[in-house]
Amino acid sequence: MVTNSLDIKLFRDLKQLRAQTITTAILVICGVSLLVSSWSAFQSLRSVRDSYYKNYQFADIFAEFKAAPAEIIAKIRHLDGIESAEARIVMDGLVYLKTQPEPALARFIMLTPANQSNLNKLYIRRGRLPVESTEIEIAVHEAFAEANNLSLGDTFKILIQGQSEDAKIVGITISPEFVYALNPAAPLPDDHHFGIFWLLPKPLQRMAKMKDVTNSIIAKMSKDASTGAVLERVNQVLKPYGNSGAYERKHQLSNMFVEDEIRQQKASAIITPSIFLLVAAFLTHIILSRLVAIHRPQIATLKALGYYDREISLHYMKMILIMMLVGAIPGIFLGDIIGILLTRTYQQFFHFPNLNFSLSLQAAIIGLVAGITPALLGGWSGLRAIYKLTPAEAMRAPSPPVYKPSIIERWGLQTRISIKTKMVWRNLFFRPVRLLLSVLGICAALAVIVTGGSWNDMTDFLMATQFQRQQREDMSVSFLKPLPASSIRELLNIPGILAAEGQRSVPARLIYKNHKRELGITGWPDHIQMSRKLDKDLKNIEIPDNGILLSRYFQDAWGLKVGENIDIEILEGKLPVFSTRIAAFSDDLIGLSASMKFRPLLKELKEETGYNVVTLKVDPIKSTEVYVKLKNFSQIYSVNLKKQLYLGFQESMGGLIRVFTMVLIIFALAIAIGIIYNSVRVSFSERSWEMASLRILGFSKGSVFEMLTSEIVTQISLAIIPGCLAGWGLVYLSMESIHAETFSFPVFIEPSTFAMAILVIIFALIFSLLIMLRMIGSINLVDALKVRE
Amino acid sequence: MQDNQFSEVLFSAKQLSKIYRMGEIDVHALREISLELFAGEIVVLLGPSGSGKSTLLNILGGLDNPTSGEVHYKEHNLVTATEKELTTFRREHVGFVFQFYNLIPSLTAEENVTLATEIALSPISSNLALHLVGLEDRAHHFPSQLSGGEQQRIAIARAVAKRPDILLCDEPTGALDYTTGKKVLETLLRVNSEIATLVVIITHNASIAGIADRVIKMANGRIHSVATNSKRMSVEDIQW
Amino acid sequence: MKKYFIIIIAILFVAGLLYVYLVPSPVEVEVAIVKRGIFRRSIKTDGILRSKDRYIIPAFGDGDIKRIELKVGDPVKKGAVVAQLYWDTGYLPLKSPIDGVISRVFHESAGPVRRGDQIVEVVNPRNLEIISELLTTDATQVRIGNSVTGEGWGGKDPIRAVVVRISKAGFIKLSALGVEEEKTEIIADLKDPSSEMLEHLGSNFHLDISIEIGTIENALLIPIGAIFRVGQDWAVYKIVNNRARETKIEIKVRGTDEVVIEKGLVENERIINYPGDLVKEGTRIKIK
Repeated sequence: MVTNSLDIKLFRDLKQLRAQTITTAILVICGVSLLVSSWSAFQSLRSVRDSYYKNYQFADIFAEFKAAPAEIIAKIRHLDGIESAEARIVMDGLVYLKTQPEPALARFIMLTPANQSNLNKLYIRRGRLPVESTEIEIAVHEAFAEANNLSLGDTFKILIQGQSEDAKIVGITISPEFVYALNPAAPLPDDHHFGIFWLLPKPLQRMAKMKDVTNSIIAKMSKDASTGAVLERVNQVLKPYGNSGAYERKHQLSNMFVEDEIRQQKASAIITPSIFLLVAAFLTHIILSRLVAIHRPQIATLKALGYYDREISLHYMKMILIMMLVGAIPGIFLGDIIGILLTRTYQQFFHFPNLNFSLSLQAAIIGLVAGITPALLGGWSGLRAIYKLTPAEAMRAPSPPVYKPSIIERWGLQTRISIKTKMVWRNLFFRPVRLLLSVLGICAALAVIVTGGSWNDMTDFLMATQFQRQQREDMSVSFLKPLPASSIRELLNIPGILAAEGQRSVPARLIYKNHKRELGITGWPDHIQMSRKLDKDLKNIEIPDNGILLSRYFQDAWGLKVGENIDIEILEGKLPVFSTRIAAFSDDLIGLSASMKFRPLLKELKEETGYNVVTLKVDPIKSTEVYVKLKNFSQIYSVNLKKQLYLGFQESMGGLIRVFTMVLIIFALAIAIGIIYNSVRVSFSERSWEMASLRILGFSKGSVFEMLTSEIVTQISLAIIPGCLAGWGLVYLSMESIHAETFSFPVFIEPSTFAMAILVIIFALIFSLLIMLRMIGSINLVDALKVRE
Repeated sequence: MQDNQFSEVLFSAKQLSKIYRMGEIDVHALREISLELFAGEIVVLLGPSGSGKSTLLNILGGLDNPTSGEVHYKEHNLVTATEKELTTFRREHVGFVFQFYNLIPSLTAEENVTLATEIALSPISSNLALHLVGLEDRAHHFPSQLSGGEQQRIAIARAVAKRPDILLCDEPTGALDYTTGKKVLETLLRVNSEIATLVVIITHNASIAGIADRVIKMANGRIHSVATNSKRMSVEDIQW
Repeated sequence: MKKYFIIIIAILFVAGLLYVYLVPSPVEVEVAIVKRGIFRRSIKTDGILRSKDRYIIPAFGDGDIKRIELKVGDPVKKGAVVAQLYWDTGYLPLKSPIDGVISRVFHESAGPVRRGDQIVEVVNPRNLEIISELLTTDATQVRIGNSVTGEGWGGKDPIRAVVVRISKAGFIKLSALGVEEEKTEIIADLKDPSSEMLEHLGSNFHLDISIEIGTIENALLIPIGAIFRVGQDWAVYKIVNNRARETKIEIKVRGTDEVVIEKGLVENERIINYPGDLVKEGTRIKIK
């Protein structure tokens, strides 16, 4: 390519604009890399999930129930809309590893023999599937195997329904049903203490004492079947068997988490990068306007020489495009790296056969286009100016800018204010658009930091509220079936258990007009100390003596009112049906809840007594013995260690969030320095002539510095409050966009986050000013005066 | 020189007026000017500052539009020409020399000249142009490394490299010292004789008028007088 | 001068920001007040109401009885026929010895019975006692005369009773949590039951009972949620000048809701209930 003179000029001019190019490029790198990595992650996660589900026949319909005869599967298979179905047994129990004193909670799933198994197929990581043998062969989910360092051939005791036998690991596997290996009782994954196991029908049926009985059905729908109708039909068939309601993939626990993550990646691919790129557009606008202003004579000369407007605009357009590309291209590579890191993190939580990050071409192209867009957006007005410039005008000395008397002067205060202040003031407000853009840019930086910090704050708040204020117990146990008060007394007699409070929890279906919802109803005792309900203002929610307390959601979405009646179908035991009065609505933090007082609930259940959840305060010195003892009771179905959950969370999620916040702050710092530095630089070079004149007139270096500083400090001061508000607003918006239904999370931002945001801006300011200081010192007064433009 | 030596009319202006705004004030730069300019002649536009000389020059060069009146270059009507047509006109026919040189600071002397030759119809090589102004050994220096006089000569090289029909010079010696100024004028004369361009020189310095074929005196936006020099002086002979 | 003024303001501003950023905000806590009162030690468990007058009506001879139409809960008058036994020549009546209600029907359908077989139980629903099966280890702490409260019978006020007998014989039974335990029976008499209570109560009704096995007068009390371990000792967080101060305590007696303090705290001092992990020594406190 033959480079013409304009291109030579292009490269030389760009060299002059090194600093600005770099600061703008940093912004573009941030924006593009986030966009590219998120979008690629979103795409690869989605495609991996789709192919995994497809190739391993992930079911569409799930149903769990108390127990039904195995033949029921024939009825299900014949239902309209069902293509295939399998009946199996899912049983919870315990597993005794030699490496841990206390047993781990286990979910045992019946494996249909390999040649018959059609749905929810296992992917074998190592080893093989269990076969008939003298000892019980078992396949273990890789999450548990990795967390506990298990290998093929390891044996341990398994406990199901009071029966204890030895089992041997023959395979380490994963299943599309458990991409996210979650213990349904705990809100967070706990691979150490919860494992999923698969074994053949014979041993499972024997130990669970469920021969020819099934308690779980998975099914695939035929194409074009209507999900709602199919679910209804399945529910009809399973009604007499203690069915808690069939559900579709959308509500399958593991899939929900995967869906969520995919959706969030998609969202984050859009929101945060947009901020960076918008700011880059601001900067480009400022840079190009300044450039066109400074190059006025050059542009006029080019026009005089006979260059067309088009050619000249293209020349300047190329300049800013190159500035963008300097950021966009590294941004794509950085995005690749971030994507790989992201995938590694995913591999910890999501168990897919292969989760490799690959930078999709689509993402790279989107990144490139996005990287260039700020140039187009921001440069537009500068390019227009080029067109509008008449050469003659450009070569004339620019007319003195029109300064109208500002407000202060009209009010006659001018005598009180020094010349310097007046100059600063007028300069700022002379170009209101420029001022606005600078201020907006700083607001953006503030908003980004506040958003980042808020994630930390809200997670801390959530953890604190959940674990420090609501669930104040140390441990909680669930019983296999409801037990009388003497069970609580029994627990209190265990040395180390200091206090115990019992509750009753039942699965139920709430029905009101055409609305239906499956939900657990909790029956609370009269005096609650440990486990409490708090609303979003952290006030204690009083459980009404009569009637039921429901989440505010039901008032909004179902149109329920206090005093109205709602129908309730209990989904276990005698399956009673009753109607009760809405006593009040509660503004829960997370999730939906239904609460009644213990005794009224029991009355409706037509039972005399029955607790199935007990919260415990435990002496820390004895906590291990207590835990072991509790785990060994046959009537106790699960033991939850609050502290363990809490610490586990802190380790995994907490760390992740801290890293994320740090990255966001660094990016915001880039924005802040970019804007502040550029703003000061522009002021400086635009008025270097003025500065030189002032210096010659006798103003000291310090005075000149002071004036520049005052300008930028004013801009920052104007941006502080709107920026913090914008940050608050951004957090509010992102909260709204997540889980509208079950999340009424208050936006909670600590004052320290705002303080941090402002401190970061101040840091950026000091940094930029230090650089400026050097430049002011080196103004060559004589030269500056010579060059009028 | 006799009148009939310059017979081809390049420019003809009729009742040209130009009013422009400067801040909040209207300035009447030209008031109903009419004149004709011929190919190959040297014309000096003389007058004090504010007399409208630069404005007239700009309009002739298609850099500015008159508020009213007509101006034609040969058969082209400059008033009705579009921006693009004007640019083409400048590209193909006009060379400018400005008072403040207006060199591109990020290009070397040679590159500044090439900038013009690349878009010209039949240029001379930039080397030759530099040779013409005696600065071939400064070809790779940037404007910031050249003195005022050298910069002005580069500007001339740039203007003449295009081999334009017209050379419009706005105070070409205004910022230069005596010796350098004379050198510049010599270059202009040489160009006029070698390429037969119409050279229009704006100046407030009456002594320079001696080298011209015709002297047009302007004041307050009007043409005061048009005088013909019976004999052109050489650059050595004029003094100021 | 003005310049220095501005610089000082700026420095103060930044200092203020640093303070807000670095110093953690005060933690909201629940406050409990150390108070003096009566400490009641009690055992909470299940109890059943049982009629003191229980009569099992047996078959007086071998024969066939007709199908018994009466159901549990049906009232019968003294002398009413509750069953008919065919013996020898005809159906002879089995009569209720008291005014009462049917509490158990052993033999519902028609069919042969042998002499002595239990047919029906009739009880006096108004003469009730509470029986409860306690772990023998718990039972050893109960004394005759201990007061008992019973709840969950449907009424607002709790039923009051007094322990009258502690069985000397233990028996092995599977506990609620599935462990074999030795249990002892405790019997308590109802004390001044209101007529409303008697209206609503019946035999074999379940109660959640609380047996008061001891009181301490004038005890210094704090809620059990406030205590935590420091090494081998117990401690609480005392609130002093809006800060949490770790204070070691000596516990005299530990109940299930409250704890009696021997040493370490004084009446009316304020302590933090369920401090949680956010509270440490010196943490600034905000009272809800």
